[in-house]
Amino acid sequence: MKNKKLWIGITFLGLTLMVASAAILLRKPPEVYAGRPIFHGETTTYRYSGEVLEHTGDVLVNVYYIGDGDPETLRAYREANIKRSHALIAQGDARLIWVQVTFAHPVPVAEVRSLVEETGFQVQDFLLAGRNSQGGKAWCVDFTGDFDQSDGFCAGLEGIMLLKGWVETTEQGLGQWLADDRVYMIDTTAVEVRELAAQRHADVVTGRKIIVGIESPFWRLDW
Amino acid sequence: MRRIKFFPVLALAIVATLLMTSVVYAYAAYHGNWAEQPYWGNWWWWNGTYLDWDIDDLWTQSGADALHSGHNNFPWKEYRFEQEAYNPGQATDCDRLHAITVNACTDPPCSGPWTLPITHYQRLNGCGSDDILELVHLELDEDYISGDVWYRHRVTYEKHSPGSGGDGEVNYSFTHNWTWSDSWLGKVVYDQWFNKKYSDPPGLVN
Repeated sequence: MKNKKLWIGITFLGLTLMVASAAILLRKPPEVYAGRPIFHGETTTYRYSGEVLEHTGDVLVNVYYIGDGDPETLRAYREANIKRSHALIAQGDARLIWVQVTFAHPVPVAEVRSLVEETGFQVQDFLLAGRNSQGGKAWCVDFTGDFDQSDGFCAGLEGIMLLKGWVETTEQGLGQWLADDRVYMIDTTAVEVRELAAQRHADVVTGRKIIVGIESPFWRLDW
Repeated sequence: MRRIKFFPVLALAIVATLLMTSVVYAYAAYHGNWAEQPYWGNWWWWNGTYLDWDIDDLWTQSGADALHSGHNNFPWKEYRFEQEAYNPGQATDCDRLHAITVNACTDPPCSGPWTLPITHYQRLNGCGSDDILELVHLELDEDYISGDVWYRHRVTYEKHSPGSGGDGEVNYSFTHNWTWSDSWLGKVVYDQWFNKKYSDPPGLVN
């Protein structure tokens, strides 16, 4: 009789432990328990993935288009960016925000430099695009962000196709980039995705530096 | 008599030339066993004022098909290369190489292989000081990758503290946004002056 009660007790305890373990494991994605935490999320116009970088502890959040950037979803993504940019300007607090500019065609370095100076844009880095001597597509990223250097490291390319950096949320800053015909898209998603990461994934990102990376359709544009 | 000696010398010269050619255009099957990863790699290591690390990647047709399938079906994986100018396993060899450009198929370095199609690039701190950024991520535009085609790109680095620190290594990995792990493709070990010593797998670097 005593033995029977003991076995029932052990079985009950075992079942309770199994249910508790399953509940803990299903509450979060299994990746979290494998070592480096990663997370994912989605809005109506984009998907994002975040991960903690192994040796620095920084969080890298990458933004991707829904539907692999097909024309319809890309149009919706661009429109959402335009709306967000106008809303940021309307707030009137002249914040310095990180943006990514994709040009419709390669724009000569001198022209981009003028636009940068006019708008008080602070350059992080840029990508030049053009054709090589065999007629194939060629690109070159200048991480120095120095327009003068690009003649050395990335010489011979037609112009700048992608520009990353910081601009103020004012008519003179962000507003001018929005109004420029040479600009295919000025992407302000980083502002939003940082807030989303802090709200939805606080357990991973709190207290960590967040770095945002955003897709660009530059490869598929005309150059 | 002299004519008889001429032919063996000519044959030796031909063999030597063929051997040298095979060394100059070395390539090797990458490590890692992901179906979606490039199968072949072919690297160059140019140690001048700057350090240029050129990489050619080739997917087999089945590899390219797996890449497309992984990207275009749930959960829509986003693949990327991680070019790590340090030892990511041990967090050693930090702060020796600082990436300043990535170059795909300008003249030079391109004279045949196709331009690597990307959607995004990122320069990051792999380890050590925040001021020296030794990690480069290249996010692929998967739909534009074809099988049996060489894709080339070059990362140029500033060299830091040459002559100190002993041997170091650079590594190359392939991963996507739905995993915390990666597929390690290979590495180069260099000496304190940034001269290449050997590659793993052997024969990968020219």
